[in-house]
Amino acid sequence: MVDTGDHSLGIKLLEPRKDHLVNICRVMPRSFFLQRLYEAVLLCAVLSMGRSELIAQTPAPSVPTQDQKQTPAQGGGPQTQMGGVNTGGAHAAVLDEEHRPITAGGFVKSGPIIFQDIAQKAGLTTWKHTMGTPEKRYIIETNGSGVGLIDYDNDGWLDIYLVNGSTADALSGKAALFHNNHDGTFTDVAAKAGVTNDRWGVGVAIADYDNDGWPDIYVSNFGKNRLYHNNHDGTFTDAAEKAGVTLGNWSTGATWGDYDGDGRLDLFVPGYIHYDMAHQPASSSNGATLCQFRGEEVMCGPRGLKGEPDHLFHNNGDGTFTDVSEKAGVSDKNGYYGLASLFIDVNDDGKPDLLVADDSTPNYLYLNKGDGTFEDASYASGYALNEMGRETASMGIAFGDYRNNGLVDFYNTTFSDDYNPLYRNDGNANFTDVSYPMGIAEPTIPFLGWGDAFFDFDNDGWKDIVIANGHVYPSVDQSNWGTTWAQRPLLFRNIEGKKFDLMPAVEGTALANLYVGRGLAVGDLFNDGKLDVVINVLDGHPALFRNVSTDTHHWVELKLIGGPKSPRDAVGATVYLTAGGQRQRGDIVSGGSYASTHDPRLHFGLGDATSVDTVEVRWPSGAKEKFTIAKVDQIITIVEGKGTKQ
Amino acid sequence: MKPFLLLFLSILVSASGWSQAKPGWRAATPEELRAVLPLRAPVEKERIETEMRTASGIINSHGKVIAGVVLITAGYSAEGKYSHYLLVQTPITIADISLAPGSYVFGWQRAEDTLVLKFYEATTGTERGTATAHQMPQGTRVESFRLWPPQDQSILQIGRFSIPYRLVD
Repeated sequence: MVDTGDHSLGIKLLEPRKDHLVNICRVMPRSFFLQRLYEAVLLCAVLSMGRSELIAQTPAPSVPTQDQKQTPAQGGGPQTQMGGVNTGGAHAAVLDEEHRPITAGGFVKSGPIIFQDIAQKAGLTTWKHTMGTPEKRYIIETNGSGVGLIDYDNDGWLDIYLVNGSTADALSGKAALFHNNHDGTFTDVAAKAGVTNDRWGVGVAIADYDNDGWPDIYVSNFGKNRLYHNNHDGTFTDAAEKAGVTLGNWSTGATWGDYDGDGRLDLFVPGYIHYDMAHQPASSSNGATLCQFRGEEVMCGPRGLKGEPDHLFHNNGDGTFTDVSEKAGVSDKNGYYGLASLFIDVNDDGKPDLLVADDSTPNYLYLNKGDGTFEDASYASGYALNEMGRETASMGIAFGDYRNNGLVDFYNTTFSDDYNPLYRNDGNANFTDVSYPMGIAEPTIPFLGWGDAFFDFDNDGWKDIVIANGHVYPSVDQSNWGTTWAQRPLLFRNIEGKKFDLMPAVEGTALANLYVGRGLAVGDLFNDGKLDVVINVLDGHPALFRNVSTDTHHWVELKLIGGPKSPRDAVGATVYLTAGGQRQRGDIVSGGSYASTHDPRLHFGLGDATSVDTVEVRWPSGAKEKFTIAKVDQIITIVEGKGTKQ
Repeated sequence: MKPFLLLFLSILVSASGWSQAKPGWRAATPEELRAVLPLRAPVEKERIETEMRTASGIINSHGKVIAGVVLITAGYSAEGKYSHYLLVQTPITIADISLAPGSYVFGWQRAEDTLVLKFYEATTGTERGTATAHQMPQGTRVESFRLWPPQDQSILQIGRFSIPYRLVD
């Protein structure tokens, strides 16, 4: 389904060099004369700029469209370097009846009303995200920022922390901390709380790193990162310098986890690109287009740019951390482009393992060996690549036991022209990409996904999937590729662990709105037992999807407090809740999605069950306890050591 | 003693026959792969960059190599048909497709639970045949591309799909 026109142009490569010397590689135009002419133009253009990046160019296939029909994954489709991303082959555009790309169309007049975007009514639109210029000439401007859900004042209501980007001139974006007013509205208290960040912000990972019972905020930036310590009085103090966790280049979606079982949360920070604002990799020079996607000029990267290493910081328990990345074996010597990370126990040995979603390079899955080091099981586990062996442009990680079989599964978001792989956990750290057999692959192909989550939106006891989408190239709106800059979010309903149904984008609801979505976090913002969604929108106002599903299912939410040998906020705990004949699993984590942190409380939909049989908790300390719950439809606090030992 | 001697000779002959069928093949080292695989694969009129970290192949005692590597930009260049470049220095039959020494490219299309591979001559784009790769057992290590040595298993692996091959010499 691609054209058969001229494909004579090849690839040009400029290797990154700090001294700005460039190394022109060959191109293969259609004739010797054109080749020499083309090389000469490029040489002049590049040398005149002194830039340093890998540049790729390929011909521009024109893609015919077809209504409501999609070609299967094409294999020719592995890694493409145009624009510097790994994605699938050119897929035919999927258009709706009004000939709109399906990413910005496919709306229906009626259907289930599940989410309403109440951001304006709630007061969130008083704040706006900004990251560079609207033209997005550089990759630093395109990746957007995350969102964290935090009850920073311990009043029992979730507040919202929204990370901001910045502009190249200012390098000082203002983050927002929206305090929950308990009446459906929020008030930005970031300035008063001292958490505006004032840097080019990327991600947020929330956890109580000093076990004082108050959640702290780690903000990853382009530039030095922040560790906002909670002062227990509505304010925070940046302790990053003292703690030794600032780093200094391009950090992304961090995660907290107690990898060595000492009861203190450690910090993992992925690195994306080693970036130099003074020498940004522009996509054109003196009229020569150097970086292309489907033949159109786009910003360059990440491929061809130097990867920023990943870092694991061990918590020393005295407010300081030690970088143990090398010793632990998670330093990313390959220089892959990390965007999201997650500490979570994938093989149920009681020790948190580590996942890193890498853009355009293989993902990492590190198994915790229990001796302070990790085993790289990325390829052996199946998580490194998708089913067809292709490296994906991974953006976000959703985690959850979608089959209710006690094993945690993963769902990664990827680039447009590619599907999002669903990694089914087959036990013993073996994963199988089952997106195609589950019917969940093809609907996601035109979309470029970011933040994502498994969550039970309708409280039927099965974990569904929500995805924030939005492209990185504004120019896609001028193309006929079947994708768009602003895209609608996707919601898949889990049908008893056997398949997922795409929920319709009903006009007038949040699922039919278009966003340039990036970070996404899920939580019960209104303590009504229904999970809501917050999306940080690139260069836009945030979205707050209030769950207005009319289901009458029951639910329960658990807030866990760890004992002396566990992290106080119980990050790393796993809960198995049995009700209505289903045994569900929940994991308390910090991080995942894209550069975001979800509600720290565990939510379980119970369907029509009106009672809970058992709650089994495996605490980070290793202790196992059983608890009973007398009444459903409530939020319950569970404290380690107060239940029945198993 | 005679029966034992005959048995011994029989085993020796069998082993000799085996070694003749697969003369000293082993996995090629990264250095050996880099020496023969192009950084930019000549594919029809294009030169498509290769992802060398995905390279895999086998080499025999005569230094002949059969190796492949993932093509970058394959999704958009060359009509999006090709995913991998394959260098053949000694004849090989992949499924039922016989490939003489030369350079080839192949691409795949996903079917219900298989990958349908199409092989082409790299320089001309002439199609050489179609073969089907099947899913490997659950829990198999995932690979971008791997040509397994014949003494391990005579398969070409893409992701978690595989297709058998036979060495002709």
